[in-house]
Amino acid sequence: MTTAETVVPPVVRRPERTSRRSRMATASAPVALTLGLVGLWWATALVLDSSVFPDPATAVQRLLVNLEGARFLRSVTGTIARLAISYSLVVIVGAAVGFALGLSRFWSDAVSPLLYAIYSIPKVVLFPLFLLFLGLGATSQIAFAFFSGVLPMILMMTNAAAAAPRLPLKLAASLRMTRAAVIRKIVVPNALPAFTSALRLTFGLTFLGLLIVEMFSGVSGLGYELLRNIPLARMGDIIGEVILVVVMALVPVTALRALEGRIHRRYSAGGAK
Amino acid sequence: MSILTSARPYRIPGYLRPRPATVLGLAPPAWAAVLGLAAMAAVELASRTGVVSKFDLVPPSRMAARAAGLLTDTGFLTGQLVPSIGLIAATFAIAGGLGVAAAYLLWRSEWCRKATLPLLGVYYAVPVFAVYPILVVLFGVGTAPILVVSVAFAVVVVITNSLTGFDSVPATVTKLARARRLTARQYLTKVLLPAAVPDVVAGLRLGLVYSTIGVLATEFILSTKGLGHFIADAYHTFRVDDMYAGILLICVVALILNVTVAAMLGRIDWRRR
Amino acid sequence: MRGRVVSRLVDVHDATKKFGQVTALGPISLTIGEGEFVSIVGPSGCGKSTLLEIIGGLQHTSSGSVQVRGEELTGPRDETAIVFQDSATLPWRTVLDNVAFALEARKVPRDARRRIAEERLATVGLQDFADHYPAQLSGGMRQRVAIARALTTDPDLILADEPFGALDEQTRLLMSYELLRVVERLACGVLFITHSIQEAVLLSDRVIVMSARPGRILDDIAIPLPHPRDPDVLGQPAATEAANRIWGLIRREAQLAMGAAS
Repeated sequence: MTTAETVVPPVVRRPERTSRRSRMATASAPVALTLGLVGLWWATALVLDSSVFPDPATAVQRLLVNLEGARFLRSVTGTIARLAISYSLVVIVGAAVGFALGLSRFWSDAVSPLLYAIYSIPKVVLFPLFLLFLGLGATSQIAFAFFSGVLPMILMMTNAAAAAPRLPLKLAASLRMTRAAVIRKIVVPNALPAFTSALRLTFGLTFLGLLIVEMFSGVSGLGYELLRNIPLARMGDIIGEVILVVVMALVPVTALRALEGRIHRRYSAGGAK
Repeated sequence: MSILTSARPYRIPGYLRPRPATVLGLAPPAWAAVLGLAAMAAVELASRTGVVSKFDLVPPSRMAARAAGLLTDTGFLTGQLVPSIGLIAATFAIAGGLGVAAAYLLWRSEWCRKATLPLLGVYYAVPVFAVYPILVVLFGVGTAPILVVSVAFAVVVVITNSLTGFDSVPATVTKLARARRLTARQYLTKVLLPAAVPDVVAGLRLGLVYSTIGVLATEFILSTKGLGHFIADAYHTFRVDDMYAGILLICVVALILNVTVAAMLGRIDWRRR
Repeated sequence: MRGRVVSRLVDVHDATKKFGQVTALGPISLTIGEGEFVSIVGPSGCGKSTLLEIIGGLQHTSSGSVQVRGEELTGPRDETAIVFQDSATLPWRTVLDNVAFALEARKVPRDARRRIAEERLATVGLQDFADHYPAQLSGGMRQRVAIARALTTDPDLILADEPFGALDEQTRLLMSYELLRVVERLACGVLFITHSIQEAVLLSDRVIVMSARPGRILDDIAIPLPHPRDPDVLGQPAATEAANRIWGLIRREAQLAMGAAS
């Protein structure tokens, strides 16, 4: 037996004690960490030269100043508009195609390997193709952002539609339910939790795709603004914009997570406790 | 009481019947191959007959030829291919090591887990590449910023999967370990890591995919060398042949990397035996 | 009224089921009379569930015939109700909506559906849980929901595939008493698959013992216990005798199966 090393850590997965104390701890811990990180940032900025590494207050201030400028504001609204369009298309087209594909076990088995192969290619290197065929404007950017998000959506929805549990299907068959009724009453509700997860995951991917191509070839948009400031070495502006990007991402994603949680509780067999 | 022949029309619903083994005589894998080849043939035809302009689309045969040509060009090999692969490998190694270690830390400390998990959950919703400009201003265009951004992009998927793996040790096994009075180190090496291997392997495979995407995307946006930069440069200088050849090479490299790493990791993954 | 077999409800003649070249089941010939409660016991893998699905019209035979009420079976029947091993409740619907599911499939109007579903829920004693979700119920309660659902369509034949298989011993016992109470009041035929000899003897008019794969009928044992039954009948000598006979057959089959494996 070795010396000072402790015995095996206590079994980690204790049953959830929903005492007020532990619930407060669960909610406050990430907040505490975030505040700690911001504090660390501030301290570092104070130590380093503030023009090279600005503190949070300066960054926010630069952001607010920029938002008053017409060009920057146009960039921001442009990005938001393009994101909204591409994400809507991802959800509508991706979910429809994926779900329809998943209903046929044969064709989903046949087409899935191709989709996975395309999915594993680093998609960003395909962007020049979009530029070649769709030109330099918003169309190619929206198309690429759509492409980034739609593939995982299709794959996830195909799995969701194919994963209808067998016993309810047998029950439906014994009741002589039509195919349409089975899809409506069993397959769709069963796929809803996976759909909400896919909504959350593909949002991040779509936004990421859009930002990357704006950085590469935009003449307007947040990605363009970010890249534009590099040669100008305007760190305050850059960090301010990054803060804006983070907020733009977190707001919808937090909402989508809440939706996901609600639907999972109601719809999955682990269900409403 | 009649003896039936199997030709009787049974009204068993379609959604209950097993999927057909073949459609038009082909099984799903054969269909995947057929569809893939048909797509390539369509592209070849479209570009050769001029349906799509020669400046936009290159026949796959010529893509392959140019790619082979690039592979014999030492300038290309040392200037673009090897640096990129090296960066991907370095990113993968660092992200993998850091990820597993961080997951162990989160598993040990309940507070760390509570503080970090919500942040990890939304991590991929935020476009991580937005910080690339910050790093470029601080460190210039070079290897370091690319490495940092790519590692940051890839590490979280490794952490979340590894954490799942650590959590998957059955409670009864943990109790056995405590009854046998294993030290923390013995528990780590003899119980925790082996149990976590399948999920860690899954996380590492995803980590490789994300490393590849991260390196290529950052090279693509802004760099002076590497495969990503090669494609961006080819696009900007209208060298369409080179561009397509580069894309083809990236697909091949990504495929080879994935298959090799999957095979190496598959040897220790006990769930797949 | 239970116990008097009037006419044939289900008639299976030389049915077999092959998967590829392997004969999984048969040849099987059996009958179920109207109002008769028939149990099937047999080792795992002998094809009991397949037989039940065949009689339920969810699978077709490789050879042989199945007739219900004198007509050849061509698919699922409206008047047959199936209770599966795992309750097959839909987790996103309330208990009441789950019970009403069968009626919904029949396009019964909403008010009538609600009314019938509430009545059947009361029959199984779950009327207070109508607005709960299945995840909030225990396994035994979920099976009662499944039984209530089966009763909503007033079936003349109920097929139950090890409905208590997933429950623990004590719950099983209580559930079989529950089922006995419900079934004594009905006039439908029941085909009941179970591993428990005790359940089979308690509930059935006949017990069919099946062999290991490929499943054939080893014996068809009548249970001459009087109706209406209650749990005390298990103490009667006729019950013990029947149980011993069944056990003797099954034990031999299990030993043969184990002997074949080693």
